[in-house]
Amino acid sequence: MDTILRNTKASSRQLYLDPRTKILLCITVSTVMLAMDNTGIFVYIIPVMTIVPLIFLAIIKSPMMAVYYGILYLVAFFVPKMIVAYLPQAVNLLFTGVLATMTRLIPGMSMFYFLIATTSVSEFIAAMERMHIPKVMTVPVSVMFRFFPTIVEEYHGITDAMRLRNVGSFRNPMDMLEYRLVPLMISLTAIGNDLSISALTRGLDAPNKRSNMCAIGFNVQDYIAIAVSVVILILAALSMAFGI
Amino acid sequence: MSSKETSNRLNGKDLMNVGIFTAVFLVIEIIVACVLGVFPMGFLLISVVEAIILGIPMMLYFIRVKKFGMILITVVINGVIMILTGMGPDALRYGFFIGLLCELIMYWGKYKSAFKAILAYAVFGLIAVTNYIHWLYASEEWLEGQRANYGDAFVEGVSGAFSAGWVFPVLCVVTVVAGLIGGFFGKAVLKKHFVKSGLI
Repeated sequence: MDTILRNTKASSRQLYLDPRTKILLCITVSTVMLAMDNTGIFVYIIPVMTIVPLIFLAIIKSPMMAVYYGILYLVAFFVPKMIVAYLPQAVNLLFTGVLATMTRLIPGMSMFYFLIATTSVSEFIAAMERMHIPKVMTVPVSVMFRFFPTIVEEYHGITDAMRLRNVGSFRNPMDMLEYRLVPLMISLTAIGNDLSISALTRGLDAPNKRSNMCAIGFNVQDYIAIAVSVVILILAALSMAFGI
Repeated sequence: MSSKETSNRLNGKDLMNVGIFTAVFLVIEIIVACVLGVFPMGFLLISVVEAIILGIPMMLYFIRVKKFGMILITVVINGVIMILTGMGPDALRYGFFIGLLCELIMYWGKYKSAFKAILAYAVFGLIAVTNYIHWLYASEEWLEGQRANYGDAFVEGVSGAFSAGWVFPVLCVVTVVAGLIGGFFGKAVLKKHFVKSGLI
């Protein structure tokens, strides 16, 4: 079973970054894209920030995602400009504005994809423990990442079963909601019970500190990435305070 | 979490439950947002549709919540994910208080009352509304900066949708009502399927 966070260790075939660095990069990109205006020095920084996810997606050797990101961004960036003059006001009001605002969200989302596509669950937990995040947060988060693929898998199973019994056609949406979600929830609660018993036998409730096989730590590339992020965040703060 | 009595501490099983239902919550939230977000008008309906669809899983969750802190953890995780995906800090900032309010409503019903659980779920639906907040406030200044790029007609058209004063409160109220409907629907479904089969 393939989890969303990778099960294997991040290998040397990609640029290895500490999970904490990736989180900082995520926050930097989304902060700049969301909070900053296209004024002053940010006229130059915002385009750079849109290219950063592209670079990272290229580095993890997923060209499909990089192309997808590029096309999505270009569409969101240019299409509203081109069509806005030819559409009635009401459509512009509801539709084009959302599309244009997407340009601010897509880079952040792509960075998040980069974060979860290159980090294993163990690394992620190790990083969270280094950041002194309490157990009440780390356990649910790790269970959550373990559960995303399970949900998808179970849902496909339910869809298959429904098709087999000819329940798949269009009906009352409230009924469809019930037919799909109830089996899903029943199987998920059953899986959840099994999972919690298995985790308890492996000492989830143990008061001791959890040890971890994944060695995480900062390397040269981490320091470079952190330095760049910090500089940009400081610039953002200065720009908010003084308006350069 | 915050309660120090040993009987009220969250144990491993509770934390597993939090993880499972937070995963379900996030998956449904993201799917609904992706499907509706591309349609005109659908964007504003995301929170309402979510409140109805999430009725079944979240009522199952809220009925399992017996200790203080579980809903709060769900809300905080949701907020952190929203920050990392670039939706801004509003989901965490305002969501924390919404989560606290849910906990208080649940506490008011001693974590047993089914009606209080439905009420708490209706309030919980507001979590999705927090994602709209930055469109309301930040978008106006940003759109001023975009005037040069996109032209006057565009800026006026867009800021009209976001800055109309009544949109946001109406959205909140509609979401809470949808949450009540979803909650009652979820409760009925639970009674029909889960109680009968002995899963609760």
